[in-house]
Amino acid sequence: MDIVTLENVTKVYGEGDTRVWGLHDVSMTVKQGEVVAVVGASGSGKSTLLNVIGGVDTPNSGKIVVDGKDITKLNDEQMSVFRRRKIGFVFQAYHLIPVLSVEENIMMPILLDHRKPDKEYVDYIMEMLGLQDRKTHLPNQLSGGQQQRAAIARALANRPALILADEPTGALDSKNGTEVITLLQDSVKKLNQTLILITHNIDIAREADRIIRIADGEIVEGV
Amino acid sequence: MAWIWRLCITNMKKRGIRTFLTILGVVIGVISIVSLISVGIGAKELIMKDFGGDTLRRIEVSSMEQSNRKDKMLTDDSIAMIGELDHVEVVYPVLTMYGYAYVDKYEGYAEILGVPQSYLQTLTLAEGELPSGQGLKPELVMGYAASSWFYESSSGVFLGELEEEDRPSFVGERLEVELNSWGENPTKHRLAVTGMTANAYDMGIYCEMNTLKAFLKRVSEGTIIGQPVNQDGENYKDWVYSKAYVIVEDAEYVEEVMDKISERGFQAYSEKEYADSMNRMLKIAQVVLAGIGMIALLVAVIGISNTMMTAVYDRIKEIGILKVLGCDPDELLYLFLLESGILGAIGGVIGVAVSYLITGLGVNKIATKVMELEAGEQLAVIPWWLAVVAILFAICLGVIAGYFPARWAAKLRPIEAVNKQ
Repeated sequence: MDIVTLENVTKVYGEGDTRVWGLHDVSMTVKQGEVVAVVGASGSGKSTLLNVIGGVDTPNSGKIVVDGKDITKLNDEQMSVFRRRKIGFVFQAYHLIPVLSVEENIMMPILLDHRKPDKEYVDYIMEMLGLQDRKTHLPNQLSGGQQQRAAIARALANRPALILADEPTGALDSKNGTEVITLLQDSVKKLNQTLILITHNIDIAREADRIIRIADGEIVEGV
Repeated sequence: MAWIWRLCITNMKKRGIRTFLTILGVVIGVISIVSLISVGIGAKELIMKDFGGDTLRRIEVSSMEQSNRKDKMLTDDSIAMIGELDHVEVVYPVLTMYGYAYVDKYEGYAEILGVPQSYLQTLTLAEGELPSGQGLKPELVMGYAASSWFYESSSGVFLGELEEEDRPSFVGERLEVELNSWGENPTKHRLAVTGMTANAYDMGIYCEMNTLKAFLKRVSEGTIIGQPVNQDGENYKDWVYSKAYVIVEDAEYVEEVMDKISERGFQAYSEKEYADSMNRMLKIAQVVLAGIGMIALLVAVIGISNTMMTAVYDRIKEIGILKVLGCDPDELLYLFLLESGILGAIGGVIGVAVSYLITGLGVNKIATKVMELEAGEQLAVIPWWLAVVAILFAICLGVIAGYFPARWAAKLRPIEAVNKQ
């Protein structure tokens, strides 16, 4: 089953002389349960691809269907609902909320959806990511690797249709990076999640089911 | 929603000094506006209290000088006629008895006003009680300031020249009144003083009218003392009153009723005009005071706006994360409005509390000394509604000041916000 479908998606930044192609007529699909690695030079449009799929940026033209829904037709409000229910984000810079505890950070997408968190499931994820004794800590009391594991837990907590990870190991040393990426991939497999992952690390990319290479806003390999 | 409160309060704590300074701004604004308005209210209450309850609805009616026409005299008939005018609530006739009086070591010229029992009952007493209405001689109620008519026999010092608290109260004493002092047979009568009114400007000496009428008839030889006579040297058939107090339904009818009374050939006088101009001055003072307070509050609003604006800038990344995670724009707006509302509320509550302290321990204490206020009188009064309105007002200002920064935050594009450095 296709969980993500892009048809002729174009994203342009700026106007006139300063015009930059983010994405140029991109079409692709990702299947349920698939792990896809996106590689390419910086500025090639990898992040733009992830952002438009995740509904944090809107394309100029084309159609994006995620979990059966055309998200290019959603307004701001509906887009917020889409993001918190269907997407789990993992960023290079973790992006945890500094004033909330690890546990609260992890439950945030559920709280934002005005639902009561499934404590057992949240505990299960925290255990899986080795965070059970860090529950009440604030993000700045954790190491970089631990913070990224908390961010992964947050992305998983809501049982999203799709996990989008933008260079999740970029800010970590190689030992921590390997550990985090292994945990991410293990969790995704265990929970039968779909993952689209941007990485510069070719070893990490090789672990994926498929590699997509982007250059100048176009997919040049792995459609 | 608990997380919103958590975020809000944790953020305010984290930004302690800025939060404190913002609240301080609101506190000062609220204090200035509340205490200034409270002085306006207190001053008005003081002045109104001095005027006494019915004073502004009261018209004093007297007959034209030397009028021998019976329909121009204040008799029971003309009293009834005035009583039937529109908007007149009640008319009290007054029968005056003049005499030279001695009491204790003081003496002076006394004007004793015979009024109906129903009028006596409208008086507020500071001391003693109303006349029983029994007995053959009139019993007297002294106005609070009536003793200022008297002077000390030995020294000649008028009591009116003394401080209020140094004046003797004549309650319980007997006034020895000499009637017909300049006539052929002056007579002396000892009249008991049973009470004293509370109105600081009341210079009347009151007694019950029917007792006075009976008394005058009894002690007069020939014509009744103080009553006019006709060409034949005889009293008229009816009692002729010296004046009448007309109470109208509301102060606004005073002028209308005064005009009608004048048309019928009587003199009418009221203190309303004086009170009106006094009120106008008070209103102007209040508006000026409130205006100064408003400026202070405006500064506070700018302070909150500034704090909220920097709060939004400082937390742009956090806003971005919340948006990426799927926070509703409305909820984000709510988050920031809650924060600025809390700032306003805390400032409002502290401001009102401090205002109570300042007026209670400062302004009123000083005013009592400087202005020589009596017990129970206050220069600054903060009614409960002013406290409530001030707090609500502060909350509203907080929310308004926070609205534009909050709306800006809610409309941020998530990916731009999250990547902001």
